[in-house]
Amino acid sequence: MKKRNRVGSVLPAHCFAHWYRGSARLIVITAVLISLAAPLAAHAKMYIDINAPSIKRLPVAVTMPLAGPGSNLKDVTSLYNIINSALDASGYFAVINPSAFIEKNGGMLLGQFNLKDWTDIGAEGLLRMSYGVQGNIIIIKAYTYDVVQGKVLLSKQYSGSKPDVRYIANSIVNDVIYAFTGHSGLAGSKLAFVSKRTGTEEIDAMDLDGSNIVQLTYNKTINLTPVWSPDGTKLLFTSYMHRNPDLYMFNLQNGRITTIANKKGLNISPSFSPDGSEIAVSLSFKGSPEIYLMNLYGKILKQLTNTSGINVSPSFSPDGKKVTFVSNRAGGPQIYTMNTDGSDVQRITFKGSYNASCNWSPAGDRIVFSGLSEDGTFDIYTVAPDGSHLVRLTQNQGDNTSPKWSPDGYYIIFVSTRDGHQQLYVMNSNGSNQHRIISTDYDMSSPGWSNRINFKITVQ
Amino acid sequence: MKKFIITVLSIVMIAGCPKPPIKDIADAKAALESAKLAGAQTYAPKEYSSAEGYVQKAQVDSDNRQYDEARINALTGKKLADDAKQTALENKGKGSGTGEGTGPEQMNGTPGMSSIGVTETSIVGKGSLGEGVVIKQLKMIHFGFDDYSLSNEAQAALMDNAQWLKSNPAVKVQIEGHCDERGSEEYNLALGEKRAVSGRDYLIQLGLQADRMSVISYGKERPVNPGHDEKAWAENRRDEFVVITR
Repeated sequence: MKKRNRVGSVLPAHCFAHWYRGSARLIVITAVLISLAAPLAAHAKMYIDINAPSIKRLPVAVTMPLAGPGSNLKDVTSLYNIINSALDASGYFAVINPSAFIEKNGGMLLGQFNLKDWTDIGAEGLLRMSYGVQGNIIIIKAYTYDVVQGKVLLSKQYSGSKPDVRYIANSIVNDVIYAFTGHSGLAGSKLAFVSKRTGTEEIDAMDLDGSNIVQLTYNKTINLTPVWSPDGTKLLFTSYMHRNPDLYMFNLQNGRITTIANKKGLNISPSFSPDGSEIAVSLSFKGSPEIYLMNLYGKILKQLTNTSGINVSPSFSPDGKKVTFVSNRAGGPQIYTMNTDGSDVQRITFKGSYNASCNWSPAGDRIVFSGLSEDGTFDIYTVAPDGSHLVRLTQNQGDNTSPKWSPDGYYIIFVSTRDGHQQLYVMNSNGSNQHRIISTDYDMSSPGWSNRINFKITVQ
Repeated sequence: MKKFIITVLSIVMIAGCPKPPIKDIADAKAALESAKLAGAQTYAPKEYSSAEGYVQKAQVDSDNRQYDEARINALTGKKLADDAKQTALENKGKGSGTGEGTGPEQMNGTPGMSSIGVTETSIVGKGSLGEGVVIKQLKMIHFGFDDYSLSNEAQAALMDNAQWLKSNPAVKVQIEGHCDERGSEEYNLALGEKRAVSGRDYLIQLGLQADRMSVISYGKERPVNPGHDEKAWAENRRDEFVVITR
């Protein structure tokens, strides 16, 4: 595959940054703003405040793209479906069912269609698209409207090769989210998780809207706790494929799995250092589960804890200087921090008898964890790294466990049993806008959120 | 850059190739498991083994990418498993099992076991990843929530286990530590190992050789009771003693 560069970057960086991250070598999608009145005026009005305690979904309608020359409807059907699914999955929009549409026909631009056709069915936002095809290249023009005020919020043209239509769709969705919230969406970012879809615990990956599921492990034993490398090219996980909980690394670029640690006993709960060069992990080959620092080849660099109890779930601070972890040295599991040489151990949770699954935020200012609440269920909490400002984010909604930050720190993904069995949910970092990512009849658990957007996974 | 030439599953799927009937096979396996739990191996052995045959065939077909056949076999297997379960429940209700001889003990029999002192009729299950056998003579022990200390009851059971192991010196065991579903995967893996180690250390205290025993933790991944209440949790917080057969 030849190296390509993006073109047409004559616009402010934020117009591109959120969907080019990490994707340049694999997928090429170009986007340019279409010159219309005040295309960046979106900031003028905040339609959806993503930090509000509760978010009312904004009703939006998405029209099937209008055909241009050389085009065939089947080229955009999947694009249309992905856009609908990803807008819904963002949690910000109530996507209006097309069967409710009353518009007979209309053009793309203001004045070429009737705003009342949309306000009458309750729409507040409208995404209108047209498309054309040149050879293998598909070109989409997308216009985002505020139909209540009759204003265009964003107009942009996207192009990419036909097989990459999913990534064009995600780019459009992220721009629509930006137009209404002032914050880039994460459509197309990848989640890895443990899935019981096949009957045993295997690792799957999927897009944030729950689509595009790819099975990564096939060993029919037990596979646990997938963790992304900072550059999004690798996953660490624990597997019983050789009948012991050993640590493996999955390379997403060539589909290969390599063994990192297979010592006697536990080789579990891995975490990458922020620069991706080291791994913190819990090993029990000396007798008790202790936290160690190792390199990517499994060589132990340092032992960080030394108790006769349990020490698991290390997670680095974003500056790489500290590690938060779970220890039962005071009786039950509680959250601690320490320096990455094992010194200066501080306990930071004191409320409740069982606090575990800690994960340090990308901004460094909060640690999220799952704790046993007084009512006997597990809930998600955040706390400052010095133990102050404890905040409870879930309540009366089943058991809530395995929280992890989104790469931008705005969201928390977690597992909840609120709908009967283990499913994946996402919420804003203040606990607002909690919603299920995808509904399945099998259990899903142990999610990890990649900071790469719009990339393909290779499976061997 | 050539390294990045890619097989992309999703694209292949969009292109319309048939998908493996993963869900149908999983459903069939679940039905089979459910039939087994209902005692179908004992009370409806013919029906059960027929269902099992179809489910296995479905998996083989799927592995060979014969997805249509796989789907049909999975659906057939599921139907037969459901029937086997029904028949088993009816027969069990009537108390008319087909007799000890065709029970699960014989079907699970492992060649060579008698040479180390384990008779086939004593086998009641298998290790968590299908290896080794669980026998009646070695008792499970149970633990409190977030606890790996041994209760008086657990110690008494371990004494019985020690006695049996002493009189069967050729037997090696793997001690599996398990947890209930509450709390984190990672902490429970560690807790399960602590439970297995507690069991092993007590057996060593009772005079057993350390090299006859190994430990493994399955955390909360292999419950015996799939329920979500205190009764299920109490059953799942356990050590199992699996006789290693090779």
